[in-house]
Amino acid sequence: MNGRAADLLATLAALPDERARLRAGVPALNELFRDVVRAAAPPNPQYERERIIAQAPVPRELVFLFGLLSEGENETALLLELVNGMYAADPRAVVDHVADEAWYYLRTSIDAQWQLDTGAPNLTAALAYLEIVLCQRLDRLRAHPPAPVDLEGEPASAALLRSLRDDFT
Amino acid sequence: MPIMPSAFFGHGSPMNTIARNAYTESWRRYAGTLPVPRAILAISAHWYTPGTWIGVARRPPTIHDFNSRFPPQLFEYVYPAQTDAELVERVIELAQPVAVKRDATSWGIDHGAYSILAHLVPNADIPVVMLSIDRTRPPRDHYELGARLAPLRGEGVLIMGSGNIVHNLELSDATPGAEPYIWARRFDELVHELLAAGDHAALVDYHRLGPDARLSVPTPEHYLPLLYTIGAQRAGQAVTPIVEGLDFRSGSMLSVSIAG
Repeated sequence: MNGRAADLLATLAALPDERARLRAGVPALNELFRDVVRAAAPPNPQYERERIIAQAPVPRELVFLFGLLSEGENETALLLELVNGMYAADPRAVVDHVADEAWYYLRTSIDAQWQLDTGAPNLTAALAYLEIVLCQRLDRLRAHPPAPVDLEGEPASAALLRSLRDDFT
Repeated sequence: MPIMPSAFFGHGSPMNTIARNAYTESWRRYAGTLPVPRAILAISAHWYTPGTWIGVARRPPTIHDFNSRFPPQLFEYVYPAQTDAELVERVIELAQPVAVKRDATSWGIDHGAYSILAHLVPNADIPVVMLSIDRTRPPRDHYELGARLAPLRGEGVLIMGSGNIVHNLELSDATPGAEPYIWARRFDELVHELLAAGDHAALVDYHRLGPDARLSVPTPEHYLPLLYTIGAQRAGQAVTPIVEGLDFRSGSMLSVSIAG
């Protein structure tokens, strides 16, 4: 486990209950998603990059789009956000049914045969799991960043453009 | 005006949209027994959202909400029904205190709805209004919302829930001739019995029905449309099967109608 994952776990462990852990942990998870997008996106566009990432409406969905989050993990992260929102709207919100669903998606994303589970769903554990695996994926991405596509090196670009101008004149 | 049924359909594979099989033929025969509805209110497993939304687009788009392994003709399929603006407003009024929000752009008629409608109303000449399922609400809230919508049945509206009583995609198996899982068969039969007995409390608290229920309803979205259908049931109204069966070992096709 890298230092960031350990820090995130320590933060969760220091909080008194699930509501507080989600209130702190869901924004931290979203920051991780942004960092994964930063690491997964090639350097182009060079100057607009940070603005686009900062303004991306749902970085989690970009991470899913890049294939760096499984369908079950994506659903779980979405449900953690929903539960956090439900607690914010009502500290006594009933969330058991959503927790059941999240736990199912997460455990079957690991093993499709893990259908029945004797323990109760645990949203903090789900959150911590996602934080750890995302930190691991971030490390791997940073060790092997995607190679930029050389847009300027395409052969015959000038000839193509001139020819098209002729065609459409 | 006759009281329209409240019905639940096990929609199964998206391929049922363009297929002709025992299920689709049963849906077609059922349609032949119905008075012509003024409109259809569809509650599909595949519009599963935070909050309750209602489609308001004048001509809702056909949503091809399945993966690319399905054939091109399914992606080309269009169900061209129009909406019913009056019904939209009536649903918003009846649903209170549930706040139903209007959606004009993000969704349309999905395969949960049109795989059935393609056979129920092949000409698409009856308006269709889609109502989403609020994924943040517990099962009882969906049942109660179904009950609030029951007056629509007296106003010429067919209430159509579409999902699958048993729906475990992770364990589905398309091997020809494969027998349904025993737990799937048991849960399907149990739900059938509870429907016949009118035991709504047990159907709403399905998660208390043991391991068969947990395997059959691993996530709630395909089961919850049934709670809208039975929520709109009134005392003395019988539940009649339209068709039954289990596909791919873990997908129930049980469809039922509650007539006035």
